[in-house]
Amino acid sequence: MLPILIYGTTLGFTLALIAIGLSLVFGVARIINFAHGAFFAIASYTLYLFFITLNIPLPVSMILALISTATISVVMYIISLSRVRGMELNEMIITLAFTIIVIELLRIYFGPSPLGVPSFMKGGITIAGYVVDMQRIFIVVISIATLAALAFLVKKTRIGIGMRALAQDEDAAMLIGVNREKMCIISLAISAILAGIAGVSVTPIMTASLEGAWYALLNGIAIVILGGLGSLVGSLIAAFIIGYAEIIIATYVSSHLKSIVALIFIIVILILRPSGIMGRHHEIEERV
Amino acid sequence: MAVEEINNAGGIIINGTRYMLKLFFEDTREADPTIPVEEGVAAISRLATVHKVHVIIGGFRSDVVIAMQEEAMKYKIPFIVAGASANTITERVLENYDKYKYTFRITPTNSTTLALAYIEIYKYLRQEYGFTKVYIIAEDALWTRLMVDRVLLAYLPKLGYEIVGGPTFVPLDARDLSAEMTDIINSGAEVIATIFSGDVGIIFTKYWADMGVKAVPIGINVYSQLETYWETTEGKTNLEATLTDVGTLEGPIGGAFYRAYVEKYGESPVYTAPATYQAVYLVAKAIEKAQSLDPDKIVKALEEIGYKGIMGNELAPLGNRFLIKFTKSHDIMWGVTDPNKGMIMGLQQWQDGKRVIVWPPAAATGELKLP
Repeated sequence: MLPILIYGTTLGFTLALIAIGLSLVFGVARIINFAHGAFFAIASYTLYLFFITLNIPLPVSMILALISTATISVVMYIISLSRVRGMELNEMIITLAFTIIVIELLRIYFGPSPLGVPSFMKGGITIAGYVVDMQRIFIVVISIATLAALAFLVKKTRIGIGMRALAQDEDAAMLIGVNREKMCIISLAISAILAGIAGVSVTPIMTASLEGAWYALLNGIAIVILGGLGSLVGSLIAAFIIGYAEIIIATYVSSHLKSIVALIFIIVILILRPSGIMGRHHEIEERV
Repeated sequence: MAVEEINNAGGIIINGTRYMLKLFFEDTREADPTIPVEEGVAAISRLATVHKVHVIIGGFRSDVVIAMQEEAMKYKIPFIVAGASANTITERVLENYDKYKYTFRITPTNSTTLALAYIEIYKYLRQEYGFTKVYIIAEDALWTRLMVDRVLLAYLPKLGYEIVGGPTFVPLDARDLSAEMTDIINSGAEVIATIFSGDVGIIFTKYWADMGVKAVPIGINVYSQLETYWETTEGKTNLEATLTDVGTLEGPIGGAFYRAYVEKYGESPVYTAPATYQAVYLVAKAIEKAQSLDPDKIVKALEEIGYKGIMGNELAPLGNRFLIKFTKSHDIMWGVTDPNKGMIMGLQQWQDGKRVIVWPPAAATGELKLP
């Protein structure tokens, strides 16, 4: 059980970082952002570019990778998404196309092979005979810190209040002076940074790879659906459910079934509880 | 390298006229699994119709090569496969000689001999190191399932091994292998029989080291063959061992080529390079022997050169030091552990940042180290 607890927790935090950004953008901007996986990959590859290729110190490289990711997300919004706001199908197609374009550009520039980045922290600790390396401990710590900072931002700052107002009632929020476009851009940038932190943190454990974009997108969507569209707390809970479920399935059933766990959750939740664990879209359920 | 060397030495002479070799290049991007087969077929078509080449050397992914082979046979162009291992490619020569006789394979050995080389290594490990408990883990692909089912599960018990865990087939896109590593730890395995050709091999190496697994991985992990793998895994690959082409690293078989390649290109070769280098020499010799560019005459010459057998160092100045000889199916002859009988493969182990050949003795540059 201990390895399941240790590695399920690490995986859960990683998935939470990925999914909460996706959920945030849906909650504030009402965009189902299929470009989210691309942000994960962009952060991984730009970390490699700054840290390995350009030999810039790690902390600076990490910050540059996150700034690059956030900047690209904002540029994507201004150039394309802002022009089709409210047209959900167009938004989905544009963000999906963006992901494919990013993957192909990364393939051209970096090549198809995965790229390795060294662990930020060396060594590990042994718990009851199982080794936990410091990079995984780093992931847990950075995830907790990031989620705490996000909670503070959402609850205690003017930006957060504006975001929550938009999420609750867009028309009312705009009537009291909340700048919708500004909030959408900020939420998208924060979302990209969250995906970027996940990408940057797990790259030493995995690699910077093109498949990472689809991995992040698929798991992100599954978690957001399971947790409830737009619910940050729901996404957090759902991330751990899927994280532990994947490891339990791989341990007791089959490694091969692990990759379909998220997909099974999507189908089951959409059938049984369309609004997810903490979703607020009861009107959907009522319609169903 | 080979074309330069041959042309600098005066080219080839056909019926008293001296000719220089000319190289045309098409990138089929086969190393990328998402690139469709059609790109390879189009490349063969361009080489045949636009460049009007006399011989084609190359190919990497078996599915692409099988399609490329059809196109090359259509134009009756000798096609020296230098990268794909599917048995089908050369079985076709026996099944329909008239159509497929223009196909030869210079590397790697076919899937069957690759699997038999794997078993030879495990026979050696059993005899020399007394391993008995093995865990089998592989990426989930048709070729790995066939190799596990038909070779590893069939032969390892006969060699005295107890299969204490697996076979575990992990998805090609797996990003977390903690459950698999926990299973290996709990199995009490001494050695992990691996078969990886894709990215998941890198994930395997990292999880193996991060989780402090004591059992040593010995098998196939294609990415770990690369000289850059130490950096990719920040040294986590230390003591991991993989089957490899002995022409891609320092040693008595391929050292001369390896050194020349690194000096010229500044990076170490992958397994297709030494074979392609030798294939150019082989073709040049066949054309001179045939005294013609007629494809049927080139094929006959290649068969005669191959069937007779020529040591690599006699054929090409820097070539691998093993016998180059084609079988009736135009496959390169496998010498098991004896370079005088044919092509041999090696077991490479990462030892403190260096790739060391630890098997077979004829190619070895060091001894296997255990954790």
